[in-house]
Amino acid sequence: MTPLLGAGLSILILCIFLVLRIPMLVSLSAAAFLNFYLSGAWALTMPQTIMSGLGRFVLIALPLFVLAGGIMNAGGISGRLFDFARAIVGSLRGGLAHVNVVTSMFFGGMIGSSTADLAATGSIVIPAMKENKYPADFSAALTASSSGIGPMIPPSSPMILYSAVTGVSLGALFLAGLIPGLLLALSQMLIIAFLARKRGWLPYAAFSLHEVWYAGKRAILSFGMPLIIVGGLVLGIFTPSEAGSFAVVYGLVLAMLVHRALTLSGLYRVLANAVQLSGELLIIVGLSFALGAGLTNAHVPEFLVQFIDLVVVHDSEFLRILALVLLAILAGMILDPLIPVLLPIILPTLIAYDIDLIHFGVLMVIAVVIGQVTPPMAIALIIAGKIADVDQIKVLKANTPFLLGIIAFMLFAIAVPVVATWLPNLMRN
Amino acid sequence: MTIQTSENKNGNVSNAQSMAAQIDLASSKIELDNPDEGLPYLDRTINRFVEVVGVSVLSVIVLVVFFNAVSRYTLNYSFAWAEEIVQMTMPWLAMTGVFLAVRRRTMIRIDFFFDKIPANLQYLFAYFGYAVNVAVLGFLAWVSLDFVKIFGGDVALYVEVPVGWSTSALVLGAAGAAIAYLVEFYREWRSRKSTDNAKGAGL
Repeated sequence: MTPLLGAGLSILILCIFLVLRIPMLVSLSAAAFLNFYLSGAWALTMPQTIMSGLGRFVLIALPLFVLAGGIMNAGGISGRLFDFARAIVGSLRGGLAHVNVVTSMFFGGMIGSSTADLAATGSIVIPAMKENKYPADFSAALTASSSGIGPMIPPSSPMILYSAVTGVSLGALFLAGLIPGLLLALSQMLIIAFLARKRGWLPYAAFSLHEVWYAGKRAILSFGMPLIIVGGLVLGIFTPSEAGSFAVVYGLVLAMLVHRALTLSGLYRVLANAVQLSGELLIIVGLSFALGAGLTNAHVPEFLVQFIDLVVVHDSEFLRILALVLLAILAGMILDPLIPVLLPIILPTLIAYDIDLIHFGVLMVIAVVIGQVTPPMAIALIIAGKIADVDQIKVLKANTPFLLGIIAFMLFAIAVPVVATWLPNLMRN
Repeated sequence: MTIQTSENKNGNVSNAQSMAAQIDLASSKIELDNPDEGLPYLDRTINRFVEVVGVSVLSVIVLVVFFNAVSRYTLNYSFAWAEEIVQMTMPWLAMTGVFLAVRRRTMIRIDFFFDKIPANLQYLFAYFGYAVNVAVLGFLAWVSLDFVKIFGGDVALYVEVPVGWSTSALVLGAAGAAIAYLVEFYREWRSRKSTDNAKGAGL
């Protein structure tokens, strides 16, 4: 059997097992074992590769940022962020919808998890939007789409995974996501503004400088978290894992001493959640290294290069990146987490084409966000639809303007790499 | 333009502030709810034991990384063993997390296609899934045990303990997860059997 056929069989097994609801971890293990067996490699390579994947120092940042996010989430910052967002943009037409987007943006900077944003903020904001005469399907669609801003804004779990797999500087990646994250939020607010004018949605609150000042004062300490992380990484003060540990300590001081919202027993529960949430992801990264190594030995990346050259007839970097991003979007519609599974396979191809890995990192995170709102998985739409008590198809339809918006934004980000690379380059210089 | 939710500005602000309080409540509920509430005593004890191991490991990682950075900046001294000890504890963090995820049924998986299978056939696919889970994780544990036997005696450079202390997490974690799936399978099979018996008896 040729190595390429063996690799194909491994990928087929991975897909079949995933479709049969076998956990990602087990499916990846089975595919990696099969690949090692068919290529005649030593089975012991498997634990060895897992251990070497787990040994990547940047990966230590993942549980630390998950923990910091959990502490902030339990520590009474969500309401403060919502209040501040309301004070700033609540007075616009369609105010509550704008507040929804801006809260998600703030949330991304503190928690780094779109699911936490969706489950916590969504469970309160969606019913409130319905009460305020917004259509239920629109409320669910907007909340699902706006929760996707979080992974773009540092600290971002998908970016930590990307950095761990590619070796790209996490600080540079965090900076690269900042402008696209803000632009994505802006694009969603523009869509809301257009719809609000067309459908006559009213402001949610009157603008008051006093309110902005009061809410800002209450929320200001929460913004110390992204400042510590991004500032520390960019200025070279911290390594990613050190930034994570400082974020944890900062979160603890804020939640336990300043807000007094977290007790010791609560801290134990947050720690236990962080162990459970990050444990599986860590092993998946280790396993994806094992599978990636097997597929590279089977010359899958070369095959991918030949395939893309066959499909992309013009010698254009835009089209090559587009082809790879389309592959990521298609995979992202089914796979979650996408990055540790797909990236080890396509990384050699990216290197062969000399594609800027920081630029592509931002595009991969946008692909992750698109995957959360496109069927069949559409996890964000499903959760938001359940909260709003609306049929999934209706939510999917209502999400069309936001989906088109993010796809247009993706094309823009491919065509204009400087959107992602300007800030990291500026800091580097 | 009129304001949407209340007749006056103050009413609107207090309405929004109560929403903020509700969001805070929902956020802490997500983080602080005990996922093992209502489970039998033995299940709770097992989960608690593994949870304590995981929480201890994560706490050690936070403290070592934090104080190493502080020491580097304040005393211009970093601990040579810090990086090694963190890397050696990572497999324990990962495997305790995996075990808890298996026990609490939060493993990452795709439900979409499975839900499309006719309800009367789903159990067959579920049983197949359990068999695959147990076989693959059991094999991973076995291979990892071989790995520990061969390389586990190597001594870490700074911490000066055998690396087997770290790599054995892979053996115990994979074996533990395989056993957890086996137990889950047994419980599901028994519950299905008793339901079938009840149906057969016309209850």
